[in-house]
Amino acid sequence: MTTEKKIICIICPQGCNITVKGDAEKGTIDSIEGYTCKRGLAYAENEFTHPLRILTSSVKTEGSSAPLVPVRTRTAIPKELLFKGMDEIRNITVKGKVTCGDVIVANFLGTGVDLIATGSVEAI
Amino acid sequence: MKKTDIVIIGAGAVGSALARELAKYKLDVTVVEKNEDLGGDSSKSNSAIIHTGYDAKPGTLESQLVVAANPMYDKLTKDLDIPFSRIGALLPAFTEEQFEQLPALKHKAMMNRVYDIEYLTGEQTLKMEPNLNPEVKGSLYIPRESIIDPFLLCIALAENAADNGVHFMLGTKCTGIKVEEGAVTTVQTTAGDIQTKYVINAAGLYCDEIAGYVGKADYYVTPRKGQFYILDKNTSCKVGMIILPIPTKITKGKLMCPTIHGNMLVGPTAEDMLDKQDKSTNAAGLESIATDVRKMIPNVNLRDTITQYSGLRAQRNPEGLNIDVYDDLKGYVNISGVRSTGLTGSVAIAKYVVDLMIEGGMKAEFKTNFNPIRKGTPIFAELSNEERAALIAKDPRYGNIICRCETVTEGQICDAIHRTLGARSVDGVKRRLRAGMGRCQGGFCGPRVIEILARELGIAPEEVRKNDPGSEMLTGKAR
Amino acid sequence: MSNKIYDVIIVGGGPAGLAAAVGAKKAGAKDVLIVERDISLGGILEQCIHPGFGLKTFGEELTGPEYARRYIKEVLDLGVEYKLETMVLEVGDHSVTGINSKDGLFIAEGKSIVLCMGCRERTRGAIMTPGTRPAGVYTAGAAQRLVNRQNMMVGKKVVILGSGDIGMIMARRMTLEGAKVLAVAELMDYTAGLTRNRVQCLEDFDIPLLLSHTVVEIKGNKRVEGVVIAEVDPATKKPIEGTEKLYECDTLLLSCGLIPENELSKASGIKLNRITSGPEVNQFMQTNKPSVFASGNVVHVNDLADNVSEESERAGKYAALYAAGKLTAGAEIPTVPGTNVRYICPQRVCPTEPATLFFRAAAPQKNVTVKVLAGEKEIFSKKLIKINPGEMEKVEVKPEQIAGATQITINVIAN
Repeated sequence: MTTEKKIICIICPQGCNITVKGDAEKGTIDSIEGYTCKRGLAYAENEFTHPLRILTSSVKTEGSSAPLVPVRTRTAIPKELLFKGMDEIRNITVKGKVTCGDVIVANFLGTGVDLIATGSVEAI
Repeated sequence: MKKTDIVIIGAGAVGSALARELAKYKLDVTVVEKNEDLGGDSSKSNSAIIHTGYDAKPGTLESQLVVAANPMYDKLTKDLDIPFSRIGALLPAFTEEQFEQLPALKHKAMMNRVYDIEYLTGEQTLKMEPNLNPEVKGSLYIPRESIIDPFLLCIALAENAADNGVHFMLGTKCTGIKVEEGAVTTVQTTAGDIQTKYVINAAGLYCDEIAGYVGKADYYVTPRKGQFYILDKNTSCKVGMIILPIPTKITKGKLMCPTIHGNMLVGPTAEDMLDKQDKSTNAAGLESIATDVRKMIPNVNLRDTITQYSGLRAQRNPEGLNIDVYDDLKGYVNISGVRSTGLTGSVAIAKYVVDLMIEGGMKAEFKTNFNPIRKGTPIFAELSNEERAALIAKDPRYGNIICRCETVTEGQICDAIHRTLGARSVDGVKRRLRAGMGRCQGGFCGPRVIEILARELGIAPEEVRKNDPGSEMLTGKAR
Repeated sequence: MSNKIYDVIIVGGGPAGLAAAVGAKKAGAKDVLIVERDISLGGILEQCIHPGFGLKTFGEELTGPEYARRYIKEVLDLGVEYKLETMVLEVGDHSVTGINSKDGLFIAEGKSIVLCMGCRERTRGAIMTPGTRPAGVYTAGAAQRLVNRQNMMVGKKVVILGSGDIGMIMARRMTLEGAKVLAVAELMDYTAGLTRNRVQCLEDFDIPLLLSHTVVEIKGNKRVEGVVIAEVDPATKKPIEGTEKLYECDTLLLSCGLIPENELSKASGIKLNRITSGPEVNQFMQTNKPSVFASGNVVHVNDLADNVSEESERAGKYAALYAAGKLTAGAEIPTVPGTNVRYICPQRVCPTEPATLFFRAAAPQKNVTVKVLAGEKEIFSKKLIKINPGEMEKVEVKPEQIAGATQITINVIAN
């Protein structure tokens, strides 16, 4: 079924209004209008067929210089997995030294995307 | 069962002053306070003025005690190491009608033995306070009207009392008083019974309820709410003295004055309430302050407000300060009708009550080792750079500033927690040191203060409270 | 403290201070010192664990701590000195007085100073929200620090007042961390923060956004028990009687605006702008005191850290040039906010050098033209589909365009 979806781009602060026409279920797109950059185009395509978001949070530490170390999915993951991702993140404890960029969980939730540290803590 | 000679109910200004006064004698004294911290209810939310009593009703006990109390504060505040300033008050008249009231007000002051009141012309008044409405026709100048930190007054009185042997039971509510054969014998509390010879009811807002326990509630107390604004220290329109309006029949009216810490205080309203716990502010009340105070100080900038609060005065019905002992109830002293002048009056009330008890036959021998001196936590913000450097050299925690707005250091916070009757909560720290009382209102230091309280008290951060049980700052750990 | 005289001393080690240090070093400053009050460099970025940083500066999307780390690495590689947990008490024309636990009280001397103190959040007291004063009322930033850095949950059922970016970001954060966000109430009839935050923080999680609404009462004596939200008249911003609705919650977060932190600037005699509440500067980010520069949110509240970095690198560069005696003063042209422009930063332009003028609209507007005038003469115009006060706009002006003009005006006019 062909539908039309109005999307506000979240890539940059400009917040372009993009209109996508196509069949979301089949994943086919007939037209995209209103984007002003390549990133915006890619965002609109995904947002129409399969919305993606970067998940950011923090994980508990043990024997480290701070109680938490911030983490993110390296790239965006399916939006519907955000809460499942949080359930996973709540159960993680890292120990000692963690360096920004370290992989905390490889292939997070089977998405093929790694969960990585976005900050550093020292071992104590 | 715990045994003591005297139980004081309430650790507000009156209770704390009584504790310190009684600490001068060889007596076992216990203070029971329902709140987790000192300062009671009314004593900590008021206009923070030490009055002269110039406008009291002449010939009353209130007039007698407030007038007597004022001169005591110079030495007392030195002994207790708390700030106090005799900045004086002005009572300006802006209309003919107000101007015509000045002679009567001056006469009333004379009747109250406040002889140092002076009449000033409009020009002289404006010279002293250039931000007053230039319409001012004349004023009364009352040089000994003064300002104080009401929290620190209560805290310092209580702390000094405790250091001289008085027991404080905080977070302990009096639930009943047992009378046997016409004499009080036991105070019942949420922390168990206390066997005692004397009970002093200094429960302020709740003194009628306590009096009810012994059948002496021939009056009742209603809360009279007063809302205030606190303005930023940098506000554009300031005054140097206490600017009082010409009083109306109902209230002394809304004033503006500096606080002892350099903010501007504007208020209060006077709203008769039913609920003794309702300390909420409301838009209508705050609006009325703006309208009224602008008549005196047209350029007051209430947009520079950093906080608003309200306090409850204990309005006795029928009116009047009453200190009662009873022939048919030995050992019981009832203090009621302590209202807006109570902060000032507290130290004289304490002396009066103790004298009354001794006259009534209480055996009271002076201690030889009473130490009237209390040394407060260093006020880092007010030290010279040399003094600061010396303090940091001695204790590096004084080099770690936690509250940026009021320049409060970690060293001070640790001292305030660990000293006698120390801070147990975020408000406790704030009231002792002003951390979180500045323009960011704890936005920056709040999270750090929680951490320090948890660490120093050996509790989990989620157990740290704003003040009383139920006011936990956090709801748990994120992980 | 040694007798060293620094070329540039920077007050604050957040996004502005870090970029200023990089700018100063790259412009040839030898000795650069950052004085930071927190336990680490990075400032507020350390608690901004969400993405959205770095697109402009690094061409990729980073979180706050990652963005900070890039600058911190550069600052360390360039050999910038820094002091942590150090509070600056006084700023002079060529000195900074500070204290910390290690050095005690010290005076550091510098040929130029850059003020990078950032901003603070508007509080409940400042916006005069009536009601009781229970635990559970936090500014969004304080809550963000507790949740993201200190591992503490501030509440379970949350109402947010104000639609600033931190407020919307905390709406998402609290939701992800397991709390229920009942609503975000905003006094104005548009969101204060970025559109993309409205989409990805509120709409993604079906969090109701109540425009033209405000909290009229806080309830609860010990912990927040609820807040009353009422609709406001869009014209007067006064609550409309009869529209009050109680939201039962344990927490109220405030995101009602940021205020540049200029207590030090004020005390040292720096001239502040009435609208921005920050120092008035020229395009070199130089204040009225030639040796004192300022950049980032202490000057005007920026929408993006990337913009803070850009203007701060510039501040650092010119502070270094000043220290080297290579920045000379000349006559300057004032910039004047015209139709639907709230403010322009810089407030003064030195006409011998090009300048980037950042500005914010006074109110949201669709299909507009931005016109820049040098005196009476139009020197630049561009069409925009929309303009929002939440997002900063910028235009460039060149020396030849503004030579001889008495003022530069920006107007935003409907097409």
